[in-house]
Amino acid sequence: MSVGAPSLSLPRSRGRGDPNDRHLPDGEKSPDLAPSPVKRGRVGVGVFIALLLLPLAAHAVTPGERLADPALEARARAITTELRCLVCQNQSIDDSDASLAKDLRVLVREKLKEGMSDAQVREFVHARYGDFVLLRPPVKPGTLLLWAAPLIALLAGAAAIWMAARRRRGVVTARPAELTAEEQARLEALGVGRRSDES
Amino acid sequence: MFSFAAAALIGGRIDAGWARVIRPWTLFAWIALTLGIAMGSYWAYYTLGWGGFWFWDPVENASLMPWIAGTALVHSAAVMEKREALKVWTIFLAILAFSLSLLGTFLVRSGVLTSVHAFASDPDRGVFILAILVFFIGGALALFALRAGALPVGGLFSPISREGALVLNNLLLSACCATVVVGTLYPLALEAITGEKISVGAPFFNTVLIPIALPLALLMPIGQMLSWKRGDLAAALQRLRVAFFVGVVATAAFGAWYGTPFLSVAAAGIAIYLVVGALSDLALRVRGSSGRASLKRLAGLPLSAFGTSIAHAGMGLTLLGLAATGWGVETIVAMKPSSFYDVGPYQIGIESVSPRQGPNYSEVYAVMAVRKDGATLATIEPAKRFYQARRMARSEAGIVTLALGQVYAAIGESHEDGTIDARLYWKPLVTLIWIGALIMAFGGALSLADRRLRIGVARRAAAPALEPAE
Repeated sequence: MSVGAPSLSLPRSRGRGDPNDRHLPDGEKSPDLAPSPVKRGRVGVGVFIALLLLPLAAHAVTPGERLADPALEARARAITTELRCLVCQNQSIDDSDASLAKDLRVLVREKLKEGMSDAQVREFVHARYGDFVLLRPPVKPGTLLLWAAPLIALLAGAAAIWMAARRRRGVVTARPAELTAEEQARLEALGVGRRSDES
Repeated sequence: MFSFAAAALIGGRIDAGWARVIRPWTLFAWIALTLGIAMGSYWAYYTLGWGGFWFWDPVENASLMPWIAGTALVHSAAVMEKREALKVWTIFLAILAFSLSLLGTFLVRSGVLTSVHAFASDPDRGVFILAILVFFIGGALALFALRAGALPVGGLFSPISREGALVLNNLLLSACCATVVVGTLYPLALEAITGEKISVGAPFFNTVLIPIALPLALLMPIGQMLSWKRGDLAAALQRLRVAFFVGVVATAAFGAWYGTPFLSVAAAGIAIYLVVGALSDLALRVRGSSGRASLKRLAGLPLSAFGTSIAHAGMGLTLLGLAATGWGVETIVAMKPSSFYDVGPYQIGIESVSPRQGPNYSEVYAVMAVRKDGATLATIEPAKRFYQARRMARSEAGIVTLALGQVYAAIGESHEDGTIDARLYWKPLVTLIWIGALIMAFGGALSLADRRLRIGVARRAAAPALEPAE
């Protein structure tokens, strides 16, 4: 099954009938496989409820798929939890029981059995389905900013704090203005009184 | 909160009084959001069929962003109230927290992103929300830029002090928040700019956030131990020696018992240290010459002191629950009737499988016995339901809580040979994730109930008793 660029992020194709057919009994095809924008008007409460229930039927990995060798199976699980199910809303193929997810799970296990390393299997899937399939985005020019974001945030924050501290040191440490008589009266009326610095 | 910040910016009057007025609102919003996130994640946990409670889904992130900003705000507002410092920053956080909730609304309801929780989304509504978003955030930031420079400089403090610790808390929380925001929006931005499609999922967030969150957890009790204005780090560490000791012992114990994964062992150790550290702050405050004196001090402590310690301890419990997910046991098996399968310390076996008719669904349910050492501890009834009207199948998990952990079972296809596919889990300490969140919210509520935040009560109370030394 080839999936070029899944049309998932087109706003109109979402919010209704998941292309994923897992909730229908065998032989029944989802009528909403290619939802048309025209029908938008009458999707109402029913769809709301339907979507509420959508992700819930996940059974994901079935006993039949599992590899006999526990070590190999563990490696397979580690890989499949980091691969996105391309036809689901937002699930890893490990959590989804869409048929494409199942196919991919089986594929990953076959490749592992053939003796591929984890990295080779990931690269194999990556080459077929593109960056979108990787839940851990690859480090490349387009994602440098993403991966650097936490560090940039920390450094920028630290720099801001440092600059604020420096500026503060420069400021003459004027005491806050004394309260006016009116303000003091209001404070006392509230029962707060004067606060001491003792702490 | 937001309107208070805007009013303060317009009025140009911003001081401890302002902080005191906004605090209940901030706390209330924070408590509501804490409980909301906890409930949402438990909902996902029991309905998802495999016990996942957090997938770093954009919609989940949308709720987490304002929570982190709100957490930072609760802390910086405390600094502002007590010490008149961090004014500009507190105002900024107030704007940020509100903006992030709006942003979250937009993300969730507009359908711009792909999510497991994407329902009731509508592009037209999205445009409307976006307009509100631009109006409020743009307006607030413009106001902020215009007036921030005019705000008076607040109280001074040395880097090693309660204020300093809270600044560090705010720095780390802001970095977490920024990471979540960037991670959530990056795929949208990248696709809009270059047309490339990438996924930013759980592995990314776990990788980048854990190195920020764990140090934050380590610092939490230290911050509590530092005094305002100028603190003594050595003395603070000294006061935490019990917590350090218990934490190290706990880490060793977890390491010896479970061994791996290392991250779980380390995080669980830090969690225990966090709980003990948070509570030892209370213990040290009330330590008196005699039991009576201690009790008297305990009664004299402001509720907000309990609030802080209890909320921090709650965070520790949640962290422990999260760490323990690394020790979960999963058994995926085609179960034969009347044979038992090992799941962690328990054995689970099917007693019967039968169909049943519900009000608007039909289901196949299995009665499973959970045993330990031959004694049946509980029976659970996982089911596979089919809703006729919607032609939709879903799994109803069978869950039983045993010693803070949960046994979790979900069933799938039945086969002709009488076996039934099942996913069986033992999730040790998992309930702590939500118990911790409840305790955090309770801590927040205690702070909210603090005497000095209750309007009217302060007037009746005798002035000297108002604010015991803190």
